[in-house]
Amino acid sequence: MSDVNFEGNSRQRTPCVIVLDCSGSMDGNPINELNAGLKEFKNSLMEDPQAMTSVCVSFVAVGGPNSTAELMMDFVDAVDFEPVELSADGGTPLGAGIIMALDKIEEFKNEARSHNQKYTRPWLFVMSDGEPTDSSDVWAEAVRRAKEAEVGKKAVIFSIAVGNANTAKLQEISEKSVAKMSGVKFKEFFVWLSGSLSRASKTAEGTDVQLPARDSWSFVSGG
Amino acid sequence: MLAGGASCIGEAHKRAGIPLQDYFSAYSHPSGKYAIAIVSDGAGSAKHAELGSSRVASEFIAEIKRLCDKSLNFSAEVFKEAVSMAIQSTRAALVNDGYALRDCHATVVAAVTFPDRCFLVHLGDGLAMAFIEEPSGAIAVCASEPENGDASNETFFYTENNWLDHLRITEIPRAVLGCMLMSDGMEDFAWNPESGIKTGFTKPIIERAKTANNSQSLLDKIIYDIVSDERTNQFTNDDKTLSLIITEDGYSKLTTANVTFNQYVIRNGGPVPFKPLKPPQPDAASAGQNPPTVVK
Repeated sequence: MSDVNFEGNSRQRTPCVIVLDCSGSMDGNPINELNAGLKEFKNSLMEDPQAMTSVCVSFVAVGGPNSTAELMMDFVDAVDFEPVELSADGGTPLGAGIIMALDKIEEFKNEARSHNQKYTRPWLFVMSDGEPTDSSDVWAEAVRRAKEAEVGKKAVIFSIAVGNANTAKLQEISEKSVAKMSGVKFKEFFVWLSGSLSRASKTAEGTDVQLPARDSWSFVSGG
Repeated sequence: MLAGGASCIGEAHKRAGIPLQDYFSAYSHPSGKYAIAIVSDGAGSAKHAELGSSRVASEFIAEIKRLCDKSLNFSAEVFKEAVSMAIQSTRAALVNDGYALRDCHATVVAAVTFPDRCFLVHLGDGLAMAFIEEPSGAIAVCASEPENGDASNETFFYTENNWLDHLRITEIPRAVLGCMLMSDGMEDFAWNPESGIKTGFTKPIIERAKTANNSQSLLDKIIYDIVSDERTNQFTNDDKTLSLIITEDGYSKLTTANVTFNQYVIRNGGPVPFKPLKPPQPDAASAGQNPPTVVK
């Protein structure tokens, strides 16, 4: 009697874009902890064989000497993710970063559909320790695009306030309550994120995934 | 007729301390006149998902047994009403017991087989396949595919307000040889939306199931060995459930060696011959005759 062949179809992808604040205010301990957190993210994902090949991550950094939004890493499978060393400088063009991230999400989906590749609803995390320095037009566009993506169930959006971030501004981009990071617990956040991504589970169409408790890195729960 | 099944908790649930949220139930009447199988998959995001899946499975079996025990000569419309009643009763009971329906989200994949016809019931994802004998004597597989939202981890549940819009009931007016039902944790092993049935998975299972020789416990064990196979964890960390029905004719006629299955899929309210987008599996072939009837 022949053996049963367990061959899956092309693996379902769980895409996640993270917008990282690399502005001047992140200099010193915060950016060091963020860099350590990115390494921890890689390590955590590598501990989950399925997450390694199903989670796709992309990073957008805002700040730098020209105060721009820059695509630090286009979507790669977690297994191929290599953390980039980030430095802190410049302003906080968070709106430009959000727009770039949402564009990348649409690109990802179009590419996936063209290859009949399944994907879970993309996640977008926006982290900042300050105030957006975009022009009012750019910020308004970023808010509009984020709300459109959330209402249209095209992406799940989370905003995370670090330190003295303007939480009111961050609250504009998502209906979910802003999560406030405790200190600079980036490592704990990324460990939590890798666990959450590997659990991206079945939901009713248009509803959000219920995530595990954030106690390890945040002092605000819910949202 | 023999019906059986098994479930295995997924690795992700084990790690997170979440219970098994899949549930199956199978029943074959001692006379061999009918068999029922149902698989229900609770939503990982629903805190009482295991209740949603177990309750609908139990109520479905009970309601269909009541229907069949009255008479087997019922119309497709009567069957549809019985299925709707089973789901409505389950929803009402959950609410009466103090549960919010959104906390009990679960899918439904079911088959009810008789010697000369079969019904497939489907709401949400997961996969149902009926193996039927065509007038030519050829064996065909008729698949009810998963229904997902924009994202592949989004689907539809009997516990949502618009459940009736997503309930798919198909009557197959043919001699049925067997049915295979599964939760989405297993569907990728059995079916490729571009190339159809994956015979490397399904054929060995059919052959093993036939060795159960009318022993449900043996059939359950055979299926458990499949859903709990370590190799499944390379592709999924989800709960896994598989259920099978083999009819009397199925034991002799559902052969797999050197057999190419004609393929149909149930889509957009009706059965269509399956046209592979990719090179088909070696055993896939062109359409047969007399497509099944869809009841909505």
